[in-house]
Amino acid sequence: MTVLQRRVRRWARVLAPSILAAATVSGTVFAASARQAASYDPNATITMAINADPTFNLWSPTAYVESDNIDPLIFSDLTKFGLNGSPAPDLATSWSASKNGLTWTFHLQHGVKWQDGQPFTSADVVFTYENIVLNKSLGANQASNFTDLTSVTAAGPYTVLFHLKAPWASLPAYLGWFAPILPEHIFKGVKDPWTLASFDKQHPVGTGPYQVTKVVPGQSITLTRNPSYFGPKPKIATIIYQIVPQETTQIADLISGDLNFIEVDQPQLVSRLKADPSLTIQRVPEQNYYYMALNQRSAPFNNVLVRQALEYAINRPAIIQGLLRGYGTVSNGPIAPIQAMYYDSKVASYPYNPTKALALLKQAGYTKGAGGKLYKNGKPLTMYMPVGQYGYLVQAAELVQQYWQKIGVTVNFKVLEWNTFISDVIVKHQFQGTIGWWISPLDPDMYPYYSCASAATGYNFQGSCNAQLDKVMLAGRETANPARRVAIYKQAQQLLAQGQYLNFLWYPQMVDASSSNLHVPSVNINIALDNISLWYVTK
Amino acid sequence: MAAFVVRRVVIGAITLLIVTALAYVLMNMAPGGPAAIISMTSTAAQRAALEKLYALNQPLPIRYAAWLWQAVHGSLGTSYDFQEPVLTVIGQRLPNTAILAGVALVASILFGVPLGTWAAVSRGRWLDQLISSATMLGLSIPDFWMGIVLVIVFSVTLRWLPASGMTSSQGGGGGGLGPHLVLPALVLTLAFMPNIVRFTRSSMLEVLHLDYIRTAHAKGAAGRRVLYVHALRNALIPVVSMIGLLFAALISGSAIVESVFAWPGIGRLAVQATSDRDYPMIMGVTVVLGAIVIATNIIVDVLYGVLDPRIRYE
Amino acid sequence: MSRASVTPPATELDVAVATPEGSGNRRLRQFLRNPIGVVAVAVLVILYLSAFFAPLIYHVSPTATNPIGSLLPPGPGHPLGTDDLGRDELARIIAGGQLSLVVGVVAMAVSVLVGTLVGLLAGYFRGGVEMVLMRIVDAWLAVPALVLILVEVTTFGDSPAVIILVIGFTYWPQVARIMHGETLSLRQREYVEASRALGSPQWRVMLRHILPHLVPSAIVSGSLAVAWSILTESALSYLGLGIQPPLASWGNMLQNAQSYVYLDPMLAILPGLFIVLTVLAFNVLGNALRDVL
Repeated sequence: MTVLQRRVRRWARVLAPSILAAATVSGTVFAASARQAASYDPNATITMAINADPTFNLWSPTAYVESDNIDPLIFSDLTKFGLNGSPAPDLATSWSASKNGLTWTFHLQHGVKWQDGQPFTSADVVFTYENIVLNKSLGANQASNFTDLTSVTAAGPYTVLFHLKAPWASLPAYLGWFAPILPEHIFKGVKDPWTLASFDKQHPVGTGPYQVTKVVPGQSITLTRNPSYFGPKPKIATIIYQIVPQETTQIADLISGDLNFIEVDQPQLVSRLKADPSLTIQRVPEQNYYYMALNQRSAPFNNVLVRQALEYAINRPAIIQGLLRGYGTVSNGPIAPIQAMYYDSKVASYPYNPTKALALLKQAGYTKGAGGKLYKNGKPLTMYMPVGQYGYLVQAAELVQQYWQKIGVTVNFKVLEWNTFISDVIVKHQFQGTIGWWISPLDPDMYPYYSCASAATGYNFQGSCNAQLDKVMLAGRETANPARRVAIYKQAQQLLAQGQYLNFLWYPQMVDASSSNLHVPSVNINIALDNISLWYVTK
Repeated sequence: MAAFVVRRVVIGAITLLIVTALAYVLMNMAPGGPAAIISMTSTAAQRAALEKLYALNQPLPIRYAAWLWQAVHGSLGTSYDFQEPVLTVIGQRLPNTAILAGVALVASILFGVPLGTWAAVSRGRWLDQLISSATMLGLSIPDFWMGIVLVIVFSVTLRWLPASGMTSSQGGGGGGLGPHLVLPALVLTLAFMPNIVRFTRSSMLEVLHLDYIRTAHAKGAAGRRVLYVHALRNALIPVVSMIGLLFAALISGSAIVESVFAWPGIGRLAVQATSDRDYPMIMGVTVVLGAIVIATNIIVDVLYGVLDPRIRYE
Repeated sequence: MSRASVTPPATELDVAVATPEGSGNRRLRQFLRNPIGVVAVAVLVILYLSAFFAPLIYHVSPTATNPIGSLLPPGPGHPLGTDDLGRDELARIIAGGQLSLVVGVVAMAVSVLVGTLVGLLAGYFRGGVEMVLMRIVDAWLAVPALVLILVEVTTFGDSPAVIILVIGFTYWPQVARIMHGETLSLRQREYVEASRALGSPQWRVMLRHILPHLVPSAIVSGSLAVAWSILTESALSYLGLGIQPPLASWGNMLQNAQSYVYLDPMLAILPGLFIVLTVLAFNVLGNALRDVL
């Protein structure tokens, strides 16, 4: 991975309803070991890595993915994620929806103070949503998640009402997904909130468990415990974020002791860490899947037979073993096994079978001709495949390209710099095939990725559209009944596997590495940071 | 002399202007756009709003003219990524690069001048070849590779030195600036020292060829030593002026080393700004670095003329 | 020392020791007496010949992937092992060599040709022409090379042709500077004056009397230019901007291997060694030639 790749925009994070708990074993195990935390060092300092200078105001368009890993410590959202992945109280203590689902009432914490001493009230929540998020001219980050939200009003100093134009079961979860509440008393009257550098870059004021005490631009950010935090007191006194853009450097820093914790994206680096006795390695479950996207706005990839054939032509276990060094499992749908309640393993699975692939292509009118290539009516089956430079996307795509070339597809492979990739492929849809991944919280909703409505400017950049699938996904979004949801999403997974609206590849396994005296819950980084008070350092 | 300097400064300013125009045009031709706007999750309406905020929907010549107007009045605009004035950010990063470049320069001179002299004095013999070839090696190794190998040896395996950054609170070698400087400065020194060696060597050779040196040989030991010293002084004149140029080259050529070692300098800033299409920052870096190079050239030329009376300026 | 308008060059350009007006033969013999120079030439000849003729006998594909057989050590069928995607490493070294070696030479040709032309014209015609041309040279040199390259590659893409042009167009000012200085001193020679007095057209004077004497410097610059070009190509790959997969170049192989350095160090050592060998050989050659020419 090159130095330019770390500036990836948070393109893979969308929230979905998580009313039901997808209980993970790790939660209870960690709770047990937390009792051992009695011997922790209360004055400990740990150092974590961050890829670039963060922007503390997460709603700002310049808050890229590096800001995600520091913000939850400084700010509170209305809700946060519990160890089991479902929304838990944060600034909101409880919530409920009206009968018609169009109005939600949130009761807020009393006695919360901002880090500059001012009191927190419903005015801050109203200001954040009305003046920042819903203000279209500002173009706030992630504002597109709240298209169903029409307005937010206060009903007293500790109650807020969210008004929707359509029932939306996911609201509590979205309100905890990188949706910090901003202090009204600082931003009131500021014409352009995105240029308030004193807040965005130097002295953010939040209500979270840590506050910023020192910023050395380009080098580090120091956080110390917030003495007036309203939630459980964190056990670690100081957290320093060191700016280290590249993962291989982060690994070197971890081994030499400069860092205490990193998330390892590249599986080939894990082996060196496993060998080190002073480090603890944890495999962490994540709702994350990789896929090949075929542009279904035009022929030939709008033909389901072609998509299915191409899926049969990829040897996914081989890629997982060879490229991912075994850190992954085959995926046949967007819901990962970690969501045990919803995950359906009995869907169409497409084991590696080039013969079957060719048979399906023949059905679609493609036969092998000159040079071993596939032809239909004299024209070869070609595919323009631009790939963005990030992580191992290029290598994985090269492997898939070779499998497809083997059965006779002429693949025109092109590596694009990330910024160009987003602009050409995601925004302008100039591609026929590409590779990507989606990360989301532990929730089954996949509507924004596959609905006909999001094909033009939303996450459904592959342009897939199936009326039946739409109905099923929409029903899943709107219902709160657990048993109904399981049934609905079972059906959705079957439709998705059958239609191959994305060619599912694998669920990667994430690895966290930490110094052995630092104890971190064995959950994905977002949930872990939301539960920072559970982290501790033994003496 | 004064007229010469004034003329060079004026020409330098014009050169800088050409540089900015060239950079502005090229930069806007690049596909994609500012990272804040080119994003998966933004809708068309959001993109339009941000483009208006950054005034990107105006034609190129007008934008360039606006930028130029601002620049002439002392402001290089506000960075998209940092949301702070470009000059502020550059002002934070440039000293960091200067420290690194300065240390590398001093080391290069300390080792390079004696080696170059030695090579010149033993010209034709195997020692000369050895020194020349050995220093060639430093020039021939890709610096990012050298950096990575050094990190693996000294940070990961031996844990003597930190792997990245300028300072830290813990880790190999302790947290201070000193240990953090060692590896990146070493890479830069190994890459730039050969230039000093080679330049010193040929400069010394030039001088040693001259008649008065040959006469010294005939005169015997004591005379020879005195004249060697004299020769060295003369030979160092171009070397001294080269130092300025080398410093400028180090400052603008440090991007790779800074990227490998996560050094918060201006080189890394330039790379980041380019990939994010942070237009104001790209222009700012170009202007500042360009001005440094041009100014150094002028100073070096003047210095050269002052030190070497054989140079005549018209 | 020549005129003051020749600023001491920024990098490896020394003041040339007086050019002997000897025959090519004498210089060749002088060169052959330098063992290191000869070794350098031999190494380069072997490298270039292997890169282009080896595929005639070694038929393994450099692009056929095989994920199951990735990161294999040297063994039957794979004399140098396999890379992270299971491709044969030797085949990739050969293919990478072809590309890197060609990029180096062609980029050098671009920079030497353009640089010589500009330097010659500026030095010969003096006055306004010199002023404009040398200011363009200065402007080009003032922009930090990497920033210029970054922006160029981001704009024009990264096909090998673009990379070659970008590298060539970044290096030409260095050549132009040298050629300008040389032309300035050459145009004052007696035979040039004589030729002009006799009424020879300008282009004839430049072509017949000046250009041939620029050749030695061009050769030396060329050698160093190839070295610089190959290093720059690998630096570009490090930044993600160089030759892109699935094309192999030593630069992008080196870059790709960095994250495998703990798992399979050979992957990084091999392309690195070849780069160092080639670049060192060109640098040594350039040095040796400078002593002779």
